[in-house]
Amino acid sequence: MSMALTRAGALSLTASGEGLRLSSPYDQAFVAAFKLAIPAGARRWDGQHKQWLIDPSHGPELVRLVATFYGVTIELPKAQAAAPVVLTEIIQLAYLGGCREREDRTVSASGYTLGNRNAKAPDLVFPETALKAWFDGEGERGATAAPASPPASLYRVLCVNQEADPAALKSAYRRMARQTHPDVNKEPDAAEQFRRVQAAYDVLSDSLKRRKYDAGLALAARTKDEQEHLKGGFVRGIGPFAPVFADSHFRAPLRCGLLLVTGVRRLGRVHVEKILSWQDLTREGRVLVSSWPQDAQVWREDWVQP
Amino acid sequence: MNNMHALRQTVPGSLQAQAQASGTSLAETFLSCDLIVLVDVSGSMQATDAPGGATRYDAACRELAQLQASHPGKLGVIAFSTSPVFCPGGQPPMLGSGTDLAAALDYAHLVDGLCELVVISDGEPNSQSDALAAAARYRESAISCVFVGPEGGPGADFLRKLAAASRGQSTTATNTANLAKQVSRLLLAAG
Repeated sequence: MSMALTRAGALSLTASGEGLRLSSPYDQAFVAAFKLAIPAGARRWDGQHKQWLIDPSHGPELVRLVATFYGVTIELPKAQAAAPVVLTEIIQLAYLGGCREREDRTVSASGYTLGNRNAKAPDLVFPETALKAWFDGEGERGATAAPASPPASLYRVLCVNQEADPAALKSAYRRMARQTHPDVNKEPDAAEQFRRVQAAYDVLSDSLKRRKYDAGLALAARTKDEQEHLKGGFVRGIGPFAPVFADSHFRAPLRCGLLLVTGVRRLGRVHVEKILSWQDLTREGRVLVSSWPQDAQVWREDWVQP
Repeated sequence: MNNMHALRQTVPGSLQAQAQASGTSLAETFLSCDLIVLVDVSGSMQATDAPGGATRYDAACRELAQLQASHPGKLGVIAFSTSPVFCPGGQPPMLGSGTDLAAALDYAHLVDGLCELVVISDGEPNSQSDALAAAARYRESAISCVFVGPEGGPGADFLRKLAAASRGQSTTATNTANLAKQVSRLLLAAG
C-alpha cells in the first residue's frame, strides 16, 4: 500500500486481486482528468468502499495524475492485472440506462443486476454495438432479419424481427404494452413510449400497411448503397441518405429482463459482448417492469401481473 | 447540377421533408406515399427543348418540385438511367448515359399493389421489349406514362404501349409544360 497526506486529506493506493484501488479526497478536476486519461473499461467506481478500481496497466498514468492534482508523489504498488474472465452468463438485468459517449469516446450503456440498488455503481456494461445488434436484428439473431433498419424502426419498437408472424407480433405488442404502459412506467416520456408501441402495432398488424412499411424500409436501405455507388463512399450524416434523425445515442426499448450474454468480467463488472437471448424477468408469476422517474435517485422496480 | 448536390437537396413536400417535419422515419413516411414517379434522367433528357430553352431534365425537376409541394408526402421519386436511384429528398440527380427502364421498373416492383406508378420519359429505353416485359410483371399497380419530348416524337408510341401493358394511362406533357397538371391528375386518380 502507498499512502500520502494531501492538503485535503489522506490518499491511498493499494494493490488488490482485481487491480489497483485508489482512495482519494474528492477533487472535481482530478476526477475529470482521471476519466479522460483512464478508459472507461479500465476503471470502476466502487461505491461501497468509495474507491476507484483501476486496471494496473494504467498505474503510471495514475501516479502522474495524483502528483499533478494532489501535489504528492506516491509509490506504485505491484499489482498484477487480473486476466479478464470470458463468460457466457445468465444475467438478471434490473435496469438498463441509455447509451452515452464515455470520456474515452466509447459509447455504452450502464446496467444493474437485480439486487444492486446502487445507482452510482453499475455492474454491467453494454456497448452500443451489442445493443443495436440485438434490437436492430443484426448479427446472429439477424441472420434472417431485416437489413439495417433506420433509427426507431417499428420492429425495434416491438422488439421483433422483420419475419415475425402475426402471433409473434401480437405477443410482442402485449409484452411491450406492459413494459411501457404509463400506469407502471414512470419515465417522463412513458406516454410517448406507449403511443409508439401502439402505433407500431397498428402498422405491423395490418398486412397492407406492413407491406408498405417494409417497402419503405427497403427503399431507405437501398439509398445507402446507391449513394456509395454515386459518390464512391457513404458520408454519414450528410444529405437525404443519412438517417432522418441522427440517432443521438441508442436507447434500448427494454429496460430489464433475463438475458443470456457472452462477455468478459473485468474489474468486477461484466462487459457484455453479445446478447444471445432476452426474456422478461419473472418472479412468482409476475413480470418486472423498470423505469427511472424524473428526478429520482434510483430506478423503480414494479412486478406486474402478465 | 452535380449528382451529389442534387441528392442532398430536400424539396419541400418530399418524403424526406415530411419525415423531418413529423419526426418519423422515412419508412413510416412512406406509408402515406400514393404515387411513385420514375423520372428518366438519361442523356437524352439534357435536350434543351423545354420552355425558355431549359433542358427536359430541369423542367421535369421544376415540375416535380411543384408537385411535391402541392401533394406533401404523397410522391416518391426514383430517378433512372443506366441504373435506378431512390431520391427521398425529391430531387433526381442528372445521371446521363443509358435508359434502362426495365431495371427501373424491376427496382420499383416492391411497391406493386401499394402505390401507383408514373413514368416520366422521352420513351427511348435501351430495350423496349425488356421494359414491356417488366411492366407486364406488375400484377396490381397501373403504370401511367407521361411523355416529355418534341411533339410527335418516336417515344410517345412506345409509352402508350407501356401504359397499356399495365392498365395505365398515357399522356403527353408537351415540352414538360403541363407535366405537373398531368401527374396531378394521375395522383388524384390513385388517391
